[in-house]
Amino acid sequence: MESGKKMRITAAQVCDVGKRPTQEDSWCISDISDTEKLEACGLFAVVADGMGGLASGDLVSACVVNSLAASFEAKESIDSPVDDLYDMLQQCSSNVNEMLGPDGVKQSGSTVIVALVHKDMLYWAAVGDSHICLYRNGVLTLLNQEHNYGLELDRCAVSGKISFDDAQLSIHRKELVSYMGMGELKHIDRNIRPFPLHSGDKVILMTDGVYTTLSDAELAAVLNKNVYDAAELLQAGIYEKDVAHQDNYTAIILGV
Amino acid sequence: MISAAYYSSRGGLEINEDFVHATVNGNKCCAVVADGLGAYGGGEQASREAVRAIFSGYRGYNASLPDPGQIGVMFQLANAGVYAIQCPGCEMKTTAAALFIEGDRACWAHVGDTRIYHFYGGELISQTVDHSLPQLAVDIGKIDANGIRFHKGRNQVLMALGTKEGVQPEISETTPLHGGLNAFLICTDGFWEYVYETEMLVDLCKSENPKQWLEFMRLRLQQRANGSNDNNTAAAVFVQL
Repeated sequence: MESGKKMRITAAQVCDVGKRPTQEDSWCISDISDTEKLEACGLFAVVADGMGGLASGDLVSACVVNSLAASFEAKESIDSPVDDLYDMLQQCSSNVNEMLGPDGVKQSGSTVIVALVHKDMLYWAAVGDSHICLYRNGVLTLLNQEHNYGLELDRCAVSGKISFDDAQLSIHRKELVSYMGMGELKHIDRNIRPFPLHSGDKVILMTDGVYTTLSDAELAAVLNKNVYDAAELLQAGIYEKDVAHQDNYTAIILGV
Repeated sequence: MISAAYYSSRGGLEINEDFVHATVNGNKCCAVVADGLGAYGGGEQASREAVRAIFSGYRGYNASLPDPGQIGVMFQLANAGVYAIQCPGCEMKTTAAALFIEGDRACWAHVGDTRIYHFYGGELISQTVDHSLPQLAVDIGKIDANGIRFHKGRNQVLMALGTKEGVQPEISETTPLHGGLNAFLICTDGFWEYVYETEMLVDLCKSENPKQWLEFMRLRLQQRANGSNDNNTAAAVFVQL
């Protein structure tokens, strides 16, 4: 990172229904042209994936994005990004639970990835199995853990409670164990210290419709371009794969 | 304030030839990791002896921050200790990496490809250089540092404890630590083979303590390992000033 010289942020996004009948992903990016807001609060981005197996996933993902966007919009400054992001996420969770009502909690849900780039630092919070990744020097690094049953099993294996082989064998590994709309959140993945960004870094927020179709190597090849070209190439890459039943897919690409 | 955590796992192998120990006493800390070389036999005895001998030397210096000369002596004694327990057909050898901290100063030393990483301010500040064949390939420009992980000669260590001639460990300068969190990671190649440096940084930014940091990284290792992976061992130290 060049000392004393603030990095310029760019952003692009892609969002498509894929081959599904409805779109259950939602997203937002704060206004990058609002330089005052950018200076005081940073750039804010959210991606959310309504859980298709549950009812009204689209409504929940929209509620997630709208709630977080409203919280960010109401901020005049962000002085404690780690705490502010956590509070916004908890407020969002309350709003979703309120929308669902006591009979709707755990009947519907959404993942969420929220990212804030502020004073050349990255902050994120994630619930569910959407991904936030850092692209740096040609290498893609996953920042968040997927909140699925596989994570719980792997943790048991690491602590010696079960074998690693047994952890891998479960057919329930992909089932989500933490998501917006479950009531009290079980897991939140977030950084508690600032993560410095370097000039040339890209950050990508994406739903599973992206990373289950494109490999890490394919994503890294796309992210080697500027964010606008990267977004176009990402969409073209998914289209070319022509996956049967291609899921909704959404990606926000931030560049510094 | 100093806090430390460590673990050691046999991975997908029958025997664990790694050994680790760390102590924290007020504003002082010593952490040592050793990786017995499998090709020579008796690796688990070699690594255990190396850690024992270095700790014995540390206690002998009243557990204060040793100077480079004292660290050199510790490693020579560890080398002699490993050499002394060799026998025909079992010429055991081991790597070793040791970290010493007192207050706002640290120093470290290593032999082989067990590594010591120093993180501060969300950046990787320093990383030890392996005494290995792949590192030689980096030095002469045949591969870059990222290629070490996948080099076919990755198991060929060029310096280890347990030699008749003695060893010349790589010893750091006494390093001042700045305010805030300084984090150190000492790990065998079975660990760093599967956990990349950016991932170490990311997981550090998420961790409240060394134990949590190790857990995050072990999950990455496990999700990458293929079931026949090497022993893997790491010690993590947080120095909050």
